Amino acid sequence: MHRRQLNWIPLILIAAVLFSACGATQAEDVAPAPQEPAEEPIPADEETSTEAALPEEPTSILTVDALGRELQFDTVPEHIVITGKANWLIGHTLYLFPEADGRVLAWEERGGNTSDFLAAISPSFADVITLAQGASAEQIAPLQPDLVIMKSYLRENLGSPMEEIGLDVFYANLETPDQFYAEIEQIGAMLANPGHAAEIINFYRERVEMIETRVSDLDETERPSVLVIQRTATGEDVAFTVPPMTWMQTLEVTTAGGAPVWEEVTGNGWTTITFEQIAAWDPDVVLVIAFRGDPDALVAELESSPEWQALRATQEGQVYAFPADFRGWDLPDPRWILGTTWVAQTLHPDLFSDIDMMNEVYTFYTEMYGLTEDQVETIIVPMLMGDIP
Amino acid sequence: MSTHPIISLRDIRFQYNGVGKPVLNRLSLDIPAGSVTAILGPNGSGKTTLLLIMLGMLTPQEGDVHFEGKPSSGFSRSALSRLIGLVPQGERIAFNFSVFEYVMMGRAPHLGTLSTPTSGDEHVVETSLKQAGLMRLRDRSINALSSGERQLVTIARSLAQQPQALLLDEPTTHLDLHNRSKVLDLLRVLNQNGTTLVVTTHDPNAAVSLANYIIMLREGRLVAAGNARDVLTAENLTKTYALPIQMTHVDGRPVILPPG
Amino acid sequence: MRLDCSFHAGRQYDAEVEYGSITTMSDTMSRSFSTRKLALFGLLALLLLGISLFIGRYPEPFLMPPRLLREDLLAQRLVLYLRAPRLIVAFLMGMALSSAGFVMQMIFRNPLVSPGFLGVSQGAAFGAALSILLIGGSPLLVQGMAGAFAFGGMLLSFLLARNIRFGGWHLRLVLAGIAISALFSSGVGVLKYLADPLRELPDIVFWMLGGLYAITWDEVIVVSPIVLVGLGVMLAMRWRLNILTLNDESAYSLGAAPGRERAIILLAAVAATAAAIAVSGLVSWVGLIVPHIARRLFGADSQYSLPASMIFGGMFTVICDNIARTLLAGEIPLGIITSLLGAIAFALIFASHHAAGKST
Repeated sequence: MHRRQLNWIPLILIAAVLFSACGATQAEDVAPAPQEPAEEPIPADEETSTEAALPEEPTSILTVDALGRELQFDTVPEHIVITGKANWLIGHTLYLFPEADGRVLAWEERGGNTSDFLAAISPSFADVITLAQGASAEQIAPLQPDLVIMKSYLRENLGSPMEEIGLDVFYANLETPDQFYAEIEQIGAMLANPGHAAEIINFYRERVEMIETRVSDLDETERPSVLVIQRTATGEDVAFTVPPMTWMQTLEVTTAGGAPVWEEVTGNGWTTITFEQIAAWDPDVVLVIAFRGDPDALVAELESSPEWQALRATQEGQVYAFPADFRGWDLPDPRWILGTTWVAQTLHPDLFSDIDMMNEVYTFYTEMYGLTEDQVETIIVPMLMGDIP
Repeated sequence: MSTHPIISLRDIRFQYNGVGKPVLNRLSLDIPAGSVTAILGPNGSGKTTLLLIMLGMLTPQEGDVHFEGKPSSGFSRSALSRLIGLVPQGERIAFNFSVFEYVMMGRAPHLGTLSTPTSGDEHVVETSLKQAGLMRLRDRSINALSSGERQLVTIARSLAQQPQALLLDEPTTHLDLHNRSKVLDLLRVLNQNGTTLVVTTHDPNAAVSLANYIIMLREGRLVAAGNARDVLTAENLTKTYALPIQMTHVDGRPVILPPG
Repeated sequence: MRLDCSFHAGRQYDAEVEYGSITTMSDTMSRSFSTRKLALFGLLALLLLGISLFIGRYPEPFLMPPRLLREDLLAQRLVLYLRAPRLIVAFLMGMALSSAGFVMQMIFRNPLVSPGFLGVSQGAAFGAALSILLIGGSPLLVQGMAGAFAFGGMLLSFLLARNIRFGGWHLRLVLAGIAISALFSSGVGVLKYLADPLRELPDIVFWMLGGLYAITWDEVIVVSPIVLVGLGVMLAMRWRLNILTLNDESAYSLGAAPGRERAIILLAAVAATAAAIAVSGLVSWVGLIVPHIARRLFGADSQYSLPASMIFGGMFTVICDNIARTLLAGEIPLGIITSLLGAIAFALIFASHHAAGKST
C-alpha cells in the first residue's frame, strides 16, 4: 500500500523556524491522476441496501452548498479533493454515501493521521493522493479535480483563489444537526443519490426525535446540570476548556435533556476555566472529553486528585468519560448521533434503559458506513473508549 | 610616603586592538609620589590612552607598568582601585542619582562585590562632600547640576574613594573661569593632603597653575618630562604643539601665550 | 573656609533645579527610613497575598467568607491546591520580571527596555515550546531551553542594536529588541501550527498572552529554585549595580570588572525570567513599568529601588492575576490584564514626568 506523495513536510523544523516560514510547501513532482472512465449511474456496492427510491441517471446535477452557492455538474464528480482544516469532518460525512468510495482524488494530510478512519474502512483509500499540509490552489489545480470540498470559513483564504482559477468548490459547515440535515441532502444530490440522503437523514431524525420526546416532559428540576469539559495541554487537573453554546458538544447536552452550567461563559472557541469555577457551578454531571487522547485515563486521573475528590459530582459518581472511537462522539462528525444517544442515557438512565449502546454502535456503522458486523467488531470496537455501559 | 614613583612606565608601546599605528611608542616616565603632574599635549597625542594605562585598564603590547615599585600584575583589581582613582571627562549618568548616592559609589573599592555601604561609608561621603563644599547639593539630582558642579561632584566621589593617586582627564576643560578656579582650589587641597595628582590637559596655563611636574607628549612620544620649573620652556612647548608658543611672566607666574 | 565662601556665587543655579524633587525627597531620608519603607511594603505584599487567598470564583465571584475555610472541604482544597500555588508563582514571576526589567534598564542604560522588549521573554517562550515538542516536557529541560533561548534573544537584540546605523542608543536597542521579539514570537507560532497536530503544546494564546490557570504545586517546585537563586544573586549585587551603570572606565576605576559583573547579573535576571515564563507564557509590561514606579518612590539607588521593584512587581502581578481569574467565569489571559494596567500606568507616569532630559 503506498500513496503517491507529492510533497513532504520540511524535515528540519529549525530551518522553518529560523526563516519564520509559513507552512506552505511546494509541490515537488506532480504525477497527474489517471483519467477514469466516465461515471456510470450509481453503483450500489453497499451491504445494506434499503428500500429507497432507485437512483436514476441524472441529466444534470444541481447542488447548493452551505454558503448558498449553486453548483452544476454534468455527471457526478469523479475526482474530489477534500482539503483545509477539519477536512476529516467532511470526509467522514461524505463517506456516509457509498458513492464516495473511489471518488476521492486527493486528501490533505494535516498531521496526526487524520485519514485513519477512512483508510481503515475503505481499501481504495490507499490510492488517494496525499497532499501536504497547507496545500492550496497551486498544489491542487494540477490534479485537475472535478470538485474541491472545504469548510466554509476557509473560503476567503483557501477557496476564493481556487474559484478564481475555475475550480468548483463546495463549502460545507456540518457543525449543527440542522446544518447536517441540509447539507447531507445537497451532498446526496451531488452524488446523484438523493434516496440515500433521505435514509441518512431519517436515521438521524428518528433517533433525535425519540430522545427529544422522552425528555420533553422533564421540568427544570429533572434536567441535571451538566458540565462538558476538555482538558488543556498543560492544565492537568486544574484547568479545562468549555465549548461555546452553539457547538455540537453543547447541543448534544441540551438535546439529551441536560442543562449546561457554563452558559455564562462567552467565547467563540474553547474557553479556559479553572477547577475553582467548576466548583462554583457545582454541576450534577461532568462529561470529560480528551481530544485524541484517552478519556478513561483522564477521568481516573481527575478522580484521584484531592480537589476533584471534594467535588459533589465526583462523590456521587457522576463524572464520565465521553466516548470516542476513531473520533470523539462529541464532535460534529457523523458520530454525533452516537454522542447524543449516549449523553441521553447517561443523564437519564431510567428513561433510556432500553437503549444498548453497543448495539447502537453496531447499527450505526453497519447502516451508515456499510460495514459488516465483523468489520465493526475488528475495526471499530477495539478503538472504543469512554464510559460506554 | 613611598620613595618609589607611584606610577612608573618603561618602554611602553600601545596599539588599539593590537593593530595600526601605535598610539604610544617607546614611552618611559615616572610619576613622583605626592606630585601634581600635568600631562600636556595636543589632541591625539595619546594623553587619554596614557591615563587608562596608568589606571591599569589598558595593557600595553610592550613594556612594563609598575605601581609603587611593584609590577602591575601583583595588584588585584580592588587593590589597584584603592591605590588609583579616575575622574573621567564628561561622564554620562543615565539615572537620576542624588549627589550623595553618586559620591557613595566612590566607596566601592572598600566594599566587597556583594556588600552594601555602612554608616562608616556614609561618614566618609559626608566628609568628602564637605571638603568639596557640596553639602548644600547633597540631595540634589546629579543630572540637574551645572557642569561645574558636576565636575566637583565627580572629584568628591574620588575623595570618598580615598586613593593615593588620582588621575584626572581634562578636569577644567569646558568649565567657565569661575568653576575652573574652584576645581583647581580643591585639587590643591587634595594634593596638600598627600594625594598624587595626574592631570591631562590641553590647556597649558591650567598645568602651569597647578603642576609641579610636567610631562609633554607629542604623537605618542615623550617631548620632555621633569620639574615644571625646568621643563616649561617656550622651546619645549613649541616642540610639543608644533606651533610657535611664547611664554611670559605675570606676578612671577609663567603665562603661556598661544599664537593669536 | 575659602572653598565654601566661593560657592555662594553659585546660588544662581539653585532656581534651575526644581525638577527631580521626588528623588530629593527620598534621599533626605536616612538609610534606616528607606529600610523601614521597604519593610512596610513587604508587609503590604504579605497582606495582599493573604487576602488573595480568599478571592476567587467560589462559592460566588470575588470574596469568600473566611469561615468557609473551616467548614467546607472543597474550599479547603481549592485554597490549598489551586489558589496558594498560583499566588506563589504569580508573586515569584512578578519579582523575576520586574527585577529583570530593573537590572536591564540600569545595565543597558535605557529606561525603555524590559524582558518583553529585548527578546528575552519571547525567546524563553520559544525555547520552552521547542523543548516540549522535541524533547518532551521534562521540567528541567524546558527551563534550560527557555533560559538558553532567552539569553540568546537578549544577545541578538544587543548585537543587532550595535549594527543599526541610525538613531540614538535608546532607540536602536528598543527597535532591535522588538525585531528579535517578533522573530521568536513567530517562531512559537510556527511550532504551534506546523508541528503540533496532536496538540501537545498549549494554545498559542497561552504562549503569547500568558496564563497561570495551570499552576499547581508541581510548578511551584519547578520554578522556585531558579527564580529564587536568580533573585538572590540580583539582591546580593543590588548596590554594586549602581557602579555598573557608569562608563566602563569609571566602573573599572572603582574596582569593578564591568563586563563580567554585568554578565552575571544579566544571567541571573534572564534565568529567573525564563523559568517563570516557561510555566506561565508571555507576560509583558511588568518589567517595564514597575522599575520606574520603584525608582520614583525609592530613588535611583538600586540598593533600595531594586528590592522595592521586586516587591511591587510581585504585588502587581498578583493583583492582575486576581482579576484574570475572578472577573469572568472564563479565564482572561494574564498578559491582557498586565498590558492593560501596565500601559495605563506607563501613560500616567511618563505623561506626568516634567523633565525634558533623562527619565527616572
